[in-house]
Amino acid sequence: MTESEKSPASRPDRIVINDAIWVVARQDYVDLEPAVKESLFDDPQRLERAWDLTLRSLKREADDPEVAVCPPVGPADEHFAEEPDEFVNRYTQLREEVSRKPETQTVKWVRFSAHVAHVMSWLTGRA
Amino acid sequence: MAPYAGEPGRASVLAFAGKCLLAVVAVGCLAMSLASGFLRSSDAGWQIWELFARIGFALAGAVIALVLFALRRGQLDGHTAAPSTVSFPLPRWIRATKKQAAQRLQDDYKQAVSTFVELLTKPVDHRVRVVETIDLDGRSMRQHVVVEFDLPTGREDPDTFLYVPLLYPRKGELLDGFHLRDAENNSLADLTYEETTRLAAAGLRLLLANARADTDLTADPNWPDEKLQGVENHLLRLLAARGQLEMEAARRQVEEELVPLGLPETAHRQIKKYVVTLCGTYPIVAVVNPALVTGGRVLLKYERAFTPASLSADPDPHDRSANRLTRVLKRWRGLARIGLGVQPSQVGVGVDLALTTASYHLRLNAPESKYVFEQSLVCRHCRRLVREQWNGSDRTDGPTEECRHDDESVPQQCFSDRHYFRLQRRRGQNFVHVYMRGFGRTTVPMEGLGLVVRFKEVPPGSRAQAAVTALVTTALIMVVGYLISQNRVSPESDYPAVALALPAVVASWFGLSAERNALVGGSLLARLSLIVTGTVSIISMMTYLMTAPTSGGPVTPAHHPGWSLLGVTETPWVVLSILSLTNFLYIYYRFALKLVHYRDLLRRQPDRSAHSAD
Repeated sequence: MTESEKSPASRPDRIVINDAIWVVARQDYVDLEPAVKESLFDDPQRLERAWDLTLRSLKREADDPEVAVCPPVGPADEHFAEEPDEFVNRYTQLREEVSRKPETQTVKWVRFSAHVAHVMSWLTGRA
Repeated sequence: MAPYAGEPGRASVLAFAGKCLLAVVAVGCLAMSLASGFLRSSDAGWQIWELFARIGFALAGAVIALVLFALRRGQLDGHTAAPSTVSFPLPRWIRATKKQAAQRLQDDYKQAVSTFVELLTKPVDHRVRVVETIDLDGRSMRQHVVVEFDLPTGREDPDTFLYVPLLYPRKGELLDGFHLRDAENNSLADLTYEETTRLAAAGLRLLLANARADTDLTADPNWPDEKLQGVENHLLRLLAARGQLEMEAARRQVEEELVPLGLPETAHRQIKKYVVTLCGTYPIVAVVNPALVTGGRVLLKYERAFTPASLSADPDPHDRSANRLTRVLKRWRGLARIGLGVQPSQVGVGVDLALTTASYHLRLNAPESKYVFEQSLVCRHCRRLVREQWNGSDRTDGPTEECRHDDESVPQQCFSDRHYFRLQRRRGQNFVHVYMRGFGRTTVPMEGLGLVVRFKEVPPGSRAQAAVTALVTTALIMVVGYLISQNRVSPESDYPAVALALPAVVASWFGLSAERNALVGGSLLARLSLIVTGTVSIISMMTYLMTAPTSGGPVTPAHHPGWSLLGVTETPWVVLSILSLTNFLYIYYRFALKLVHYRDLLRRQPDRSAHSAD
């Protein structure tokens, strides 16, 4: 039977990679959220009003610092560099929540191996 | 005086001296394991004690050598990059960014900013075609991408410039060899990081304003109020963060920030999509001259270089067809390929760009000395062949937890707007062509699809070299074996030894000269055959030197067992002849198989394209 005569059913359902392989790690971001259907260009008059509002409000904030809502520049601002503020804390908390996974047997073995490696490195003076 | 940074301290000098001492001891132990007579005495059993001592020296030398190797390996492994961290801009930085954005914005920026927002929030609707080409020539992969945009309709002024987000590299990734061009291959300008952030700030304000523009807020001088500005600042801090954010956490935080505003649902979705996208990427934004736009279409190109990772395939836990031993052997094949310096012949490339466009073409070009042996479009997580009946799914009960597709395989004879794909059939060509349509419009994007391709050398290739070398070696060994068996070798003659060494030199030359400038490797079998040829050649030369007749007569008396292999009767030469002959026959058999397979591919008629594998 030639290859062209092979029926699709005769092909394996999955492939087995059993040799060395070049792997290209994609560096592009792909958003997995559902697509947005709405468009800014659906209503030109609305877009016109929104643009006027954007331009006017941004320029007003730039010209009048009292209008802009931001902590003042100075020692209080420097404080943020040393201690994370509430915003950063919230992100950190959320990150820990989503990355928390149940402890599987593999995780236990990895943790045990890391412990052994740490003891070995301490014994050999490389810690 | 305290040592300056980088100067070796006393501890490191002592550690180095210790390692040197260990190395000397290891060499001494290994030398003693090869020595003899050092325990010679009048006692009868001194040979036994010396044998034990030699074994002990060998073991001690090996253990010390392994310890030194492990220490050095650990040091090299320690030379890794510092862990990347996420950092957020200070509020004053946000304030300065917004201020600069306000100072630079003009009335005629409306089209540029709104187009930027539109293309960022609805990429699939406007990236109508993406053609990606990856070249495997040289030591790295070079990617060329052509993106055709269908710009938003309703643009009022066709003469103003445009900001077009073209490429979405993940935050923290560097682009190597990046070049941006228009359709006529002229270089294009793109925005810097600061400019992109200012543009993002203006776009966010536009989206917030658009969410409220249906009310009569144009007369309200106090918009945005303090609460809205606070949320906007938080969103800007999030999207301007440096480093790779945990996207699920960022998504949740964006949601938490937006909910209290009580925005209309459509505006809520738009703003969330916009901010979350900018949390994950620093988009490359091209500044496009309106003269490049024809009929609402514009064509942009970019190219960059990839550095792929060469991996030995992991044991496949889903492979039910193979037992444990077979799986271990398969894994060792990959390790042997890398260890012997033969480049991998398989390439795995993600087709994620298909999720960002309506129509996607991928062409993977190998050097002309290679042809496509196997090609498969698969899910990278479960390694199943992609089927047109698959749908995107975010359920976690799929084939694997990471899979983003369901396992439906019900054939459908009708379609409305389903996704579709095809592969160019194999006909001995050196490239793979995949066409995918509609994968960006599925309800849940099918992330994780990839193309796995195996290339082989176009015959004759290295297998023919190995076969010819094995044939010459076999002939030489059998001739020398025959001459020795028939006592027809001149005493003290070195010519047979030189002739027997020749194949080893040729095998080494072929092995060293192969694949210096090719990313995709050649035949592992050919390399192994050359190694066997060289080894048999050297052993036969040593056998000849030890057994060749001298002027005093043969070293060992001729032994005639009564049977022969083409006139070779000496047992060592019979064994060597059989080894070399087996090597030749097997590599020739595999070479002939490949030749026939390649010929069959060339004879294929261009009747149709292939599904997920061919």
